[in-house]
Formats: sequence, C-alpha cells, structure tokens
Amino acid sequence: MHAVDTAAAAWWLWPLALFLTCFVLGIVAVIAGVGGGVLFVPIVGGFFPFHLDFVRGAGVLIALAAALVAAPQLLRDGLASMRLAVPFALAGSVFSIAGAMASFHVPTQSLEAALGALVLLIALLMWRSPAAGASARSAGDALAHALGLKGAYIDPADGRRAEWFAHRTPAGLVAFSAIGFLGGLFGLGAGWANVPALNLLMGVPLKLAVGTSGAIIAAVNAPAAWIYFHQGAMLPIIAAPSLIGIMLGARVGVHVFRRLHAARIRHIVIAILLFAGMRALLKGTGLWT
Amino acid sequence: MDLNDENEEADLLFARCLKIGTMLSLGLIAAELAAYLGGALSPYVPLRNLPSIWALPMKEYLAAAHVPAGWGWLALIGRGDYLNFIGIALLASISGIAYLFAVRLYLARRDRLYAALAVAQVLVLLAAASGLLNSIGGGRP
Repeated sequence: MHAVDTAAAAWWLWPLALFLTCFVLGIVAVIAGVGGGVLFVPIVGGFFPFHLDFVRGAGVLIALAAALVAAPQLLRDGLASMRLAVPFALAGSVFSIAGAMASFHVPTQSLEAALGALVLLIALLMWRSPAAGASARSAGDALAHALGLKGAYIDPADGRRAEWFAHRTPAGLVAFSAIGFLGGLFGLGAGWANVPALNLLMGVPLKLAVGTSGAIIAAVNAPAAWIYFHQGAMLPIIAAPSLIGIMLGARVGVHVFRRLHAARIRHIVIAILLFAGMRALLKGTGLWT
Repeated sequence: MDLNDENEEADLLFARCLKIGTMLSLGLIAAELAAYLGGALSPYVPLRNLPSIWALPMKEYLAAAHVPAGWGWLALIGRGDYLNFIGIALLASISGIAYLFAVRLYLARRDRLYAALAVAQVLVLLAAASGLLNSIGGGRP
C-alpha cells in the first residue's frame, strides 16, 4: 500500500488523537486555572498536521465553549458580574472581529512566529504569577461612576460580603480592545490577559476578575467565531472532537482538582507552554519545520 | 431594589440563558459528530480525502475540496460534515440570544445605558454572523 493510501486509510487516527489530547488538555486546563484555547492552539498547531487556520478556528470555539460552560455557575454564585462584563465585552468584541479578519491577511509563518512569542510571554507571566492587586475601595473615575461599575459579592472562602469598585475604566477599555484583537488574531481565549486587566489595572477583586473574565470571553469570542466560520476556517473533523474532548476533560478535571497539587500542575503547564511556544516560534521562523 | 439586586437579576438571567444554550449546542455537536464519523450521513468532503488537504492553507483547502465559504454551507446541511455546523453556529449565537433577553430586562429597569450597550453587543454579533464583514478584503491568497 502506498504512503498516501495508508494516510487516507488511517484518517480516523487524527480525530481520535485530537479527542484524547483535548481530553487531557481539558483536565490540565481546569487544574492549572487556564483556558483551553491557550493550550490548544500552540499544541495542536505545533504537533498535529492541520493548518494553523483551522486550528485557530477551533481554538476560538474551544475558548468560547469553555467560558460558556463555566459562566452560568460563576454568575449564579455571584463570582462574575455582567454589569462589569458588558462594556468591556463590547470593546473586546469589536476588536476580536478586527483581529480575526486581520489574521487572514498575515502570512502563516509570521502568524505562527508571533503566536510562539505570545505563548512564551504567557508562560513567563504564569511563572512570575504576580500577586493579586489591591481591590479598589471607592469608585475611581467618572466613566466607572456613569456605568455603575460597583457591587458586592460573597467570597465563598470565608463567607464575607465584599464591596467592589472599578478604577481606570478608560484604560480598561483600551486594554480589553487590545486583548480582543489578540484573541481574534490567534484564536485564543484571553483569560491570561483579562484577569490582570481587571484585577491589577482596574482594582477588581481577584476572584471576581477571574469569574468575570469568563463572562467576557463568552461574549468576545462569539463574533470572532463567526468570522472564522464564514471565512471557511472551521473544519468539523477538527473542531467537533476537540470541543467534546476538552469539555469532557474539564468535567473530569473538576473532580481531579481536589486531589492534586495544583501548583505542581501549574509548573507542568508552564513547561508545556514553553515547549509549544518554542515549537511555534521555531516553526514560524523556519528553524524547525 | 438596590443596584446590587438589579445586577444579580441580570446575572441570573445570563446564567440561565447561557446554561440552556450551551447544553443544547454541545449535545447537538456530539450527536452530529457521531452521525458524521459513524457514517449515518455521507460527508460532502470524503473522510479519506481529508488527510491530503487539511494541512493546506484555508483558501487552498476550500479550492481543493470545492467547499463554499460564507453561508454556502446551508445548502449542504444534509451532508455529515456540514450537519456539524448547526451545533457550531448555535454555540456561536448563545451569548447574543442572552444579550437579547438582557435588553428587555435593562429596559424594564429603565437602565437605558446598559440596554444600549446590550443592543450594541447584539448588533456586533449580527454583523459578524451575517458574513458581510468577511467580504471586506480578500485575505492572503
């Protein structure tokens, strides 16, 4: 049998491998506290035979689905706020469309190299893991006041009611516009950037920032997904097994989470991101094809 | 009702919409994938041909597989591979549906600013979903 015939006969191996990989990614993502998309795009883009266009298309969907699955519980528990999410999601959505559209004008190799650099940066951010910023104690700017960006939530850790206020709203809008663009460009969810923007820049308490980040991704990635969809960058053979795999993995991850040392898993994820980021960077620059 | 109670009402509304929509779309995607890979519906692009074309850049893939972009998939909805697009399209629409419900809630609360922001979010999603934006610029060859 010729090589081509063998490859054709074994077509099912790839969706199966993709499902299993995404199942593991779903477990790891929950334990490490990262979105699935940021792991999916560099790993599947670097080590599977699919073109990056289709991997990014599936990546947008995976980040969207992961956020949609998590958001309802976080909203019910008061750990995410739509009052906070709505204005920043709108800014991010407009620019995620721009990012998704721009991505089809950038040569694949340049996109891959930039993705590698970004993933290495994310790994560095996770490694440095900046301490939570101090929560703002009073409404800080006119725009936050006009939007009513304040509220209260009950921290499930100690049961205490904590008031929150948002600061530096104009800077936050600029940050979420940039984050939306990058998410659309590379097919990522952007929890890695949303959380620091809400917590460190705007003074939103860390837990509320983590929860609201999911609600923002649920809105921001939807228009980007439609852009990929209409361009033709959605392959069901890639997107569907990945979605099912990562969702099932995330469900298992929630149960495994209680028994594992999360810090150790986080180190493993950083190592994976470094490796996958380096692979994407070297592939994009033509040094490791 | 203070501002926090109103926030909570909107949060619960979004939570309900997102949960129902997500469960429905992921269930659909799982069923459609089973029909696709299980051979219940023959695919438009034969599964055996995929390994030779899925590494191609998007535009080359579309040309090699004679696949339509934009809303062209609707004409192929009876084929195993394009059936999957129903669940994917629903997944990408859930947040817009939740925002539509939120518009009603914000208007009922006389929160015109947030009603306008929610309408703007729906319009952005509609612009992307319409496919009109994809006709702007040709992209890389």
